[in-house]
Amino acid sequence: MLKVTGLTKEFGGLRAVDDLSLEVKEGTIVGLIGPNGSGKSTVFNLISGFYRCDAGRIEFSGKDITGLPPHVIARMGLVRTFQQTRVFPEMTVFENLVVAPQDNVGEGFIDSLLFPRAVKEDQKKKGEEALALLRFADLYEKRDELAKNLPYGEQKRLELMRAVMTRPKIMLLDEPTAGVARPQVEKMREYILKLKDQGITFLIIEHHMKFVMGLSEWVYVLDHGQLIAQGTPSEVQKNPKVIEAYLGTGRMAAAV
Amino acid sequence: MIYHLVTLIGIYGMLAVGLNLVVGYTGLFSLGHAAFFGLGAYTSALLSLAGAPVFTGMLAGGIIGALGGWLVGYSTVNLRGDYFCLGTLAFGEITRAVFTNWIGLTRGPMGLPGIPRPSLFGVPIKSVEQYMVLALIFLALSLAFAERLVKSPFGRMLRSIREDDVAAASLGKNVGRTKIVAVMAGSFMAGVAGGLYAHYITYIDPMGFTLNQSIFILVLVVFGGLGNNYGSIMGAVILVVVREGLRFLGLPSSVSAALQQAIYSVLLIGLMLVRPRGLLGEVKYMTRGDSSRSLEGGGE
Repeated sequence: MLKVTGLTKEFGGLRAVDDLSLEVKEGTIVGLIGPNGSGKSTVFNLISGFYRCDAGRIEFSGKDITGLPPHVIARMGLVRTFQQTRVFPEMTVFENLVVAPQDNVGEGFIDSLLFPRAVKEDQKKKGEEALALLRFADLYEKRDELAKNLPYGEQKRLELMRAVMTRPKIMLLDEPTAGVARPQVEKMREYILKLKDQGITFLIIEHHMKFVMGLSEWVYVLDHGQLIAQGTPSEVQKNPKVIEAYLGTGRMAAAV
Repeated sequence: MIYHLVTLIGIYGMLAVGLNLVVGYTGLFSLGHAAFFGLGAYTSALLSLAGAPVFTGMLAGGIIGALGGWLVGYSTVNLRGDYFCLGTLAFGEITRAVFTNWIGLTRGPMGLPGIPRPSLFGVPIKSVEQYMVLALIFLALSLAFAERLVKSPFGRMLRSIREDDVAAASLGKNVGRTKIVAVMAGSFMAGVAGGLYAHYITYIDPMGFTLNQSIFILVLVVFGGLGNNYGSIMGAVILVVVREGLRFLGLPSSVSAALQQAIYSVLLIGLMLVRPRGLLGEVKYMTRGDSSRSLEGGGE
């Protein structure tokens, strides 16, 4: 579904991502881990089109998407979330969801002015969809609150659900549990598994080892922009290179 | 006098409502709105002086204004935030320079006199009262247009772009194109307002379309409350009255200009202290969870 080959990105003289290749198969959950500053978020920015790569090729659903602008990539069904959540703060929880679908009627200048009935019908449908999703995400009670007033963990959830509203084929989640209180981490896990059952593929950056190891079928490990290991979670956890990258002190083992 | 004031309020209200689309809803700070105003005024004046019907001229003024908006939007939209502001500032100075120096077309600083008044269905609109009604109709149309736009999914998308354009792009919104469309809609309205102005005063010169004018229009919008069309009109009502009122005090121009600046500053500072979101604040066109739309009063 997603295939990255030889991806390279330099900032000044620094190679943030160095000849990285990875693959995400349809219907799977794949983890991308590595110490801070190892280039994980840069990889996401490259895949989703926010950065231009210096070398390499990104294929999605069999099409070359290298160098395409972010909104075009998103419209093909590859949607990401951000490490620092980016909800629309001055819009309500409900609005955050209904603004997201890519086929919203009335987002064009002309049809917004000329076809009120079609807009209304479409909005009703999208509204119901959004409410169902809010119930699913336990945010229904907060639907009319401004997004900026939600606690961080709920903003994180809202951002995830907003991305779901676009009906993505694959979602790139950048640290879905960062800053999320412990009881909600388990919920996040449930949401992701349920969404996977609905046919969404995931590529997840995560520092929360138990979380990512429990979810992922395959894990890639990045260090200094290079791929140092890949495999099933249990393989990766035993890999001496990986343990060394995480300071070689057994922090990895302790975390798991 | 009062009719004159209301006519000016109609014109400036249109300018403010148009600019509010750009600054208030899309979050693009513009320092060049007078340029689109001027483009519309000159286009409409020149066309009607060449014999075209006045309303055709006004429409053409709007279109030329929108083209100007496209030019600024297209050239700055892929740059980040502040560059749009710089782009509009530069565009404003360029258009003013063109108005001043393309003497063969615009007569430069001497200005264009004798711009005809319009006539509607064969009835010439001569008196100030009649023109006032015309200006108010134009203002009402602009308001209806802007309100419809901002309440639609298009308007909601504008706000999402204002809130976080990176997030909007990540969802698949064509941020660049949408910004350009918003700027074009705002400058179209400014262009039409320019035509309305030119045929009202019947004389225009480049001094009407300076940076100061752009700032004045921006102040109207900020004063009334960003993202609130009624606020923009309210801003126009109050500040146009203040400005024209000062003019009639008969102070020497050196004093009155400075006094104007001082009064605006005091008003703005006072407002920021009391109501940081402007006189009326943003109207929240919140789509509520029961999927009925409701207007929730502004304020903080």
